[in-house]
Amino acid sequence: MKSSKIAKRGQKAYIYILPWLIGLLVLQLYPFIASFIYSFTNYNAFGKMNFIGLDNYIKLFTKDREFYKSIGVTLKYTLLTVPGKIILSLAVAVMLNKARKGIGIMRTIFYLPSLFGGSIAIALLWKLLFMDSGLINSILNFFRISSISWLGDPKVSLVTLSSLEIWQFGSSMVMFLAALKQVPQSLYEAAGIDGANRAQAFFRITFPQITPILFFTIIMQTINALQNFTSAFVITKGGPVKSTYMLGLKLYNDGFAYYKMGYASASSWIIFMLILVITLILFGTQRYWVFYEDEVK
Amino acid sequence: MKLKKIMAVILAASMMMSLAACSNSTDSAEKAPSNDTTVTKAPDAGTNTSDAEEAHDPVSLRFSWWGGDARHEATLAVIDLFEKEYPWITIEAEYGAQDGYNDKLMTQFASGTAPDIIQLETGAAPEYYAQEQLLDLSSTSIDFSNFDPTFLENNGQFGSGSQYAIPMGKAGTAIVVNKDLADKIGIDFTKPYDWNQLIEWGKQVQAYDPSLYLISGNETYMMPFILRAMARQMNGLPIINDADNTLNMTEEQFTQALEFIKQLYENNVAVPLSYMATYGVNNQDDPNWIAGKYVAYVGYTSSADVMQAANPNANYIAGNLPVFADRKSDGWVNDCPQYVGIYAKSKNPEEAALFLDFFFNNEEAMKTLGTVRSVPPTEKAQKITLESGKLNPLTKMAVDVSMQYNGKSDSGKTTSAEVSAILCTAYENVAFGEKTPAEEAKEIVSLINDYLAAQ
Repeated sequence: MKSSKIAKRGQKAYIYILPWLIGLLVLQLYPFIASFIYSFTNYNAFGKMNFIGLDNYIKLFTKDREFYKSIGVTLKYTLLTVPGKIILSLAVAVMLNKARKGIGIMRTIFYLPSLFGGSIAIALLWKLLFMDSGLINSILNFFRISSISWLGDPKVSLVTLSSLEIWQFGSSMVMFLAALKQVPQSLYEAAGIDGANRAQAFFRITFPQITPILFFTIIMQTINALQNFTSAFVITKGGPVKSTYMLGLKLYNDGFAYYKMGYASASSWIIFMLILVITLILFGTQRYWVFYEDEVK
Repeated sequence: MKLKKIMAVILAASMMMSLAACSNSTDSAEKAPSNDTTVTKAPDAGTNTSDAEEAHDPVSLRFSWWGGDARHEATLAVIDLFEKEYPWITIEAEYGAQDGYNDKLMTQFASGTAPDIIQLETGAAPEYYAQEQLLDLSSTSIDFSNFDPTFLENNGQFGSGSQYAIPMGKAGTAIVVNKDLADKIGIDFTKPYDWNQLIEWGKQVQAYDPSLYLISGNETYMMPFILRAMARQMNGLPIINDADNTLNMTEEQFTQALEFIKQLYENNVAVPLSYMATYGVNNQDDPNWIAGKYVAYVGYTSSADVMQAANPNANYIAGNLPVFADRKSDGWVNDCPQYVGIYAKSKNPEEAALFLDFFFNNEEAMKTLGTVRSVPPTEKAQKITLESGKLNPLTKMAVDVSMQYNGKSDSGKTTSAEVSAILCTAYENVAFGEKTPAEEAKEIVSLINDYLAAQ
């Protein structure tokens, strides 16, 4: 009797997780495996397909100069956006943590940009803001500063795209805010009695206490940045002179504009490996700086 | 806290997977042009009294095109006319801007969900034909008798002898000249001239007023304007020989063409690309064009009226096009601005053919469409448009200018997306001064040879 009840409950559980399971199998696992198979073929999306072994991978590494350029651009973008976003979100979170009035409204306002995510509309907004005749330059001109070619100058364009990513710092900020709230007040009180100043309190107490969340945020943001596509596609199309030609966009062009699905699949696997390696390295570093309370011996 | 660690690993892994697993479905959703509109036009049932309507099952067709507002309105009006005449057929209109049109179509071909009737870019259509995505229109009921047979043969048969795509208009490269400004500076685009004359005129404009430029041209249009046209003039042939997958252009010839591009930007003859970049191909939005700060615009006959409308205060003419003195061919081509075709996997090819027949042969449709796709492709439609006063004089002048040259279209591998991207990158690198013409010429040859080896 009892065991059949449990079995029934078990079956029910499967029904509950079915939507997620179907999503995982159809939208994640199937394309994941399919792209791996395609990466060894010359599949062109119209149906013809021959197995060509490692040719796609060999071509990527030996003949495709844009591939190296794209890796460079993508890493640069990651190095600009991840620290930028972390520092900004942490600073705002610390500020909000201290504030007593209107924190709810402020938190919502800061969080709003994150809700828009990688949307086309926001990317278009960014394009309009940063155009040569856009709002940002108009403001600069008002203060008698000459216009900057935000999207047309190869030296500036990637920074402009990064600013869009950094602007969407809200979700990391909310995480930090939650982490800050969890730091026990008793620690600060003890530190105060011992005569620690605010900076010491932050670096000796706050920072170690929130390192698990910091670590998590860095990992998530790094993966996010390495996969960026929308802003480069909508705002700059990878230009000027390929200065914003990120891997995600190159992959898209190879597959959908040049009909080289197999080749694009191979580069998607290279990006996957790149992300995997970077993530593993980050995981490797955590024992040097991430503080988990249960590990205190 | 151990749990947190495990959660972090699982989350990180699943996020990473989402990239390699970047599936078609998410892509097509994300990349659809933002101003894309899908409108289902309800059939106007009550208007048709013919008893034929009883005999047909209702059929629904999808028709996709890109363009500006005038084109959308006219095309929707023709769909209305058609639905009144054939009440059992409903046409779903899918229209938007040209941005991302090909990418979207590509995902639709890949998933077998392309529209029944498709407006096609001339550069991309040969590839779709080669991939067997287009229906043989010669086998349908479409009446081609209003078309000039040579024009049809050169546009949309892809050497097969059968019509796979129908040219939607007559068009060519156009230089739209602000005549008032040109006259003031003393520049005459109506006489024959060579490429170097453009550089000299450009310097003259800068000397007259450094805030003015001779040429406004976006990279997408300037690349074929210079590189592909120069190739046709130098060799009388396209850049690539499609039959045996070889290059017709030599490295030296590429260097020469790229050297011209370098001159163009070093001497401020053309507006810097860094400025042009944000407007894409929508140069009518450029405030400097609207303010009349450019002598000429390099584009196509099909966009002449749009550029004219952006600054109606100026007088415009269509200028002659540059040629080499020792050319093998004039290079400039009179072809079509875009094709229309029927999807090979369409479930209702007969009805789709009925629509195209109506689109090109019905007099009311001809009158409604006017010049929204450049000068109409048939003599009859041209006459009707002229009589109804809908033939824009500037568009007509631009087409007339392009018809005086004897160049042949280079549609094929030369115009494929990948080769165009290689040439655009080279154009950009030289225009920005990142690479020398010689370096880029070497790069082009090597990259195109790689492309050809994979064909």
